[in-house]
Amino acid sequence: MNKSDLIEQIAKETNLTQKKVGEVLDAILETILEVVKEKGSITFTNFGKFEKRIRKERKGVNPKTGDLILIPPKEIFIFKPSKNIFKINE
Amino acid sequence: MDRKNFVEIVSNKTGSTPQEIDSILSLFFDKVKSALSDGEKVFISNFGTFTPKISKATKKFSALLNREIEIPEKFRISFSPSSNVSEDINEKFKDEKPKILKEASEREIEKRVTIMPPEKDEQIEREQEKVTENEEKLEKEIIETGADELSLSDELLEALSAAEQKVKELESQEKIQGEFQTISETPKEKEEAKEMPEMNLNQEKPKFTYGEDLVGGAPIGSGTYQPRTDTGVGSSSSISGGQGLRESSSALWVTLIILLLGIIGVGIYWALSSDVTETKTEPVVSQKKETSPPVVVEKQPTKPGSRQIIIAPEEYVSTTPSDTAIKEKTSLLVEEPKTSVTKEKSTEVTKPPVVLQEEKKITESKTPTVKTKPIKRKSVVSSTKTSGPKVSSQGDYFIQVNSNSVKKFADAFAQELRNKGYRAFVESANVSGMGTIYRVKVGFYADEDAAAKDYHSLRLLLKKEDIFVNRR
Repeated sequence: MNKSDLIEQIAKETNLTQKKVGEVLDAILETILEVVKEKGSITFTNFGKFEKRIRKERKGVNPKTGDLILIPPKEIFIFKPSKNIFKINE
Repeated sequence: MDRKNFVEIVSNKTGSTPQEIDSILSLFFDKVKSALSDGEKVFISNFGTFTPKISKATKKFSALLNREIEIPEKFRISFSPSSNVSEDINEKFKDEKPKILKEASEREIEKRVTIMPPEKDEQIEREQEKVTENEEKLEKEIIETGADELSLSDELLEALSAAEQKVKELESQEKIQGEFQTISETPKEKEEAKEMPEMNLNQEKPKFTYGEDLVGGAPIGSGTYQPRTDTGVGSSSSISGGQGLRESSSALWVTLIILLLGIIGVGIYWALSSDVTETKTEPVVSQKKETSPPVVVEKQPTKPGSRQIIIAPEEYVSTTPSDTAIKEKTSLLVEEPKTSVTKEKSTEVTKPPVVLQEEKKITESKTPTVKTKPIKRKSVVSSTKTSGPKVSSQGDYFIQVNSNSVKKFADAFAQELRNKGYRAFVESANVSGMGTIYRVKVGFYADEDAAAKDYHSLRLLLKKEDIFVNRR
């Protein structure tokens, strides 16, 4: 399923234009990212939690050259589904 | 953060009412959920992908309940952010790059290459190269110097084969006669037997005796004798010379030859004292040395007193790498024909053939095994010659051992092989889509057979199966 498919389906049910739905959806996703960046996490009930985590630095080997390297730490974007995510469907 | 606050932020951005946004948001979640529950992936560009996964049902033993529990299959959702989002999120450690703690040491390279410890040195390699170079030089020289002599070889070989058969027949007769005559001529034996050791050392006195023979001897024998030595069929030629003498001979010849056989064969070994036998055995040993690998032959020409050995076939001399040996050989080749013209006068020049003939008669009379020696010589020479081009730099065939995108590994690999004694080298090639690739090859070989030997040894050594022989 693509974003365009999503927009189409949402537009049908809300009787809004696809353009508007698209704009709103993009804004929603943007803000999710922004909030996660600022505050570290955002939770939507019955859906899940988007959050930011720090992956620690670790040692590794470059498989191409065989050099031993230190992989730097990294912030990653994570989605954790809520326990009730499929309860509605049931 | 509440959902209310979130919706407010979005409404401020888009300008649409919070109710619309709330409904869109809830619909968005519902659609994603329904798609995932149907087992469908949800791609959202510039955000990420939700993928549904089902973990299989398993059975686990529960220590608490003390029995097996069936764990039902579980529906899971994995989310992987798109690359631009993950970059966007990673603000804090944006500029950090992987640090090289330790460059790949030689040990690690060795581990990757996995070659057995080296056994051969580079010196051996150099020696092999020298030998091959010298052989090439010698072959050229032989072609230049001995072209005329070699042209006769086919005719001579036919004659020789016929002559050898006759000699064998004659020998069987002579042995019987020789036994009778040696008993009768014991005093002469003693006299000449005393001379024999000196002959072996100085090689002068027997020449006189044989020189007398040559004076009386038929020109056929002496005439046929020379070209055969030149062609390099050493022992058989001398025998055929003797045979030629016998054919043309009168009773004198037969008696003289029998005398020689009797003196050398029977008289010295059984009749005379230990002192004589010791000195006597020397030439036989020297002959045996000739049969042994060419290293011994290299030494012999350098000895001052041993001209007899220089007469050894050309193939012998060809194996010696030293230039002095070649000069001696060529000079001899020039000298020997002269002896035919001046048979009687030249005591010095006629030395070699005389000694050779006499010694070979000894060997013939004593042991039949000695006859096989010349055959051995040829075989030895041929083997050394064939071993030469195996490592030659010329040829079209090579063995590809490894191909690597990192030059460091390729070089290390080649060096390991070089230490091992192989002619390894690295060749770089541009392959489309893969950049430059460094190929480790071993070669070159003249034949596919020559390459096959090293191919099998390399396969055993490296325990690899992706080695192949190819032609450039």
